[in-house]
Amino acid sequence: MNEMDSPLTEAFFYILLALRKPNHGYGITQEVSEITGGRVVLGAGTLYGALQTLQKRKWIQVYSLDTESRKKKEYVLTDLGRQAFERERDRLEELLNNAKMMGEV
Amino acid sequence: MIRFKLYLDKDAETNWLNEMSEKGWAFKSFFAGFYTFEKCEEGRYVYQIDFGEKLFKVSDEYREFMKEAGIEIVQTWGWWVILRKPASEGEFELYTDVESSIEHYSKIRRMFKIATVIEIICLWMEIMAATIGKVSYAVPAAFFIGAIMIGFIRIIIHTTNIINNLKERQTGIPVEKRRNVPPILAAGMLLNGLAIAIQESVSGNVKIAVQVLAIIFMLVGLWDIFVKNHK
Repeated sequence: MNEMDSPLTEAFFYILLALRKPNHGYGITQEVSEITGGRVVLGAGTLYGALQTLQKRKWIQVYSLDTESRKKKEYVLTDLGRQAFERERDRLEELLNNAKMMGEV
Repeated sequence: MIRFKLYLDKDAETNWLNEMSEKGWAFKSFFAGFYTFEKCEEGRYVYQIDFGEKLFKVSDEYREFMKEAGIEIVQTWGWWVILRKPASEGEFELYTDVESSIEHYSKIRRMFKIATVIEIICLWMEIMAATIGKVSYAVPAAFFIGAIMIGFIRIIIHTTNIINNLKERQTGIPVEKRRNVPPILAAGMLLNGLAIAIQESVSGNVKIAVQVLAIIFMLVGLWDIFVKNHK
């Protein structure tokens, strides 16, 4: 199975979501924690590793690398990353739709 | 204050650094087993130890990332990176999901496996040297290398257990856990030391027989560790 086709981990899913608009490392952690009610907290090692992997897959890219302005490094989703996220959303939608069968006996 | 300790288990080392911080001693630097601490307010820092990508240094990207997260890189040593964050700035954990934790411990295990292979080569050369010529330090050297190997193998087993526990959480299927060094490996190492020790006093054939037995024992034990439990 191609790695691109396998389900995303929660961390990857939420990092991609948080990068729909430019965001920096701490911003990602904060947003993910907020929208999951504190359930998904990304540790620094987990986040760093995921950002490296996602960059290698070209699903995200560096948005601003302005070292002069002392601004924090920001990342943003690429088209490829958006496609991956949409594939995952379709997959989850299918799961959720099929899950309804549990109620109909 | 300086303390001397040798750790192979990074989790035990992390716990110790955090205990010291709780008592008001902040870890400052490390050199070959010597930990330097300085006074700090009790519980000021939380320490974590990461397994880096490079030897004795970290990439600029890593450095930048940690800095932005309010994490200080205190020391790099080998592949280890000792990090800290003021406790007042909230929780500090490195790996928070099963997937990335498995990756982290797998990297650590790979490093110890490579180190063990290097030790095996050393032991082999040591056996050769002791067989061919008279090496005065052959016996202590064989036991010394053996002791280091046992240490590495114990940490490989320990790390495998951690990884298996994590996999258990992923799959819900219990995995058998191993507690200790296979006795056959320890026996092989003892025999190996013995073979070198008795070479003066017994005939060549006896010595070769003991040596071959020692090597067979060690190979069986190593196969057990490196291959059998690692699916």
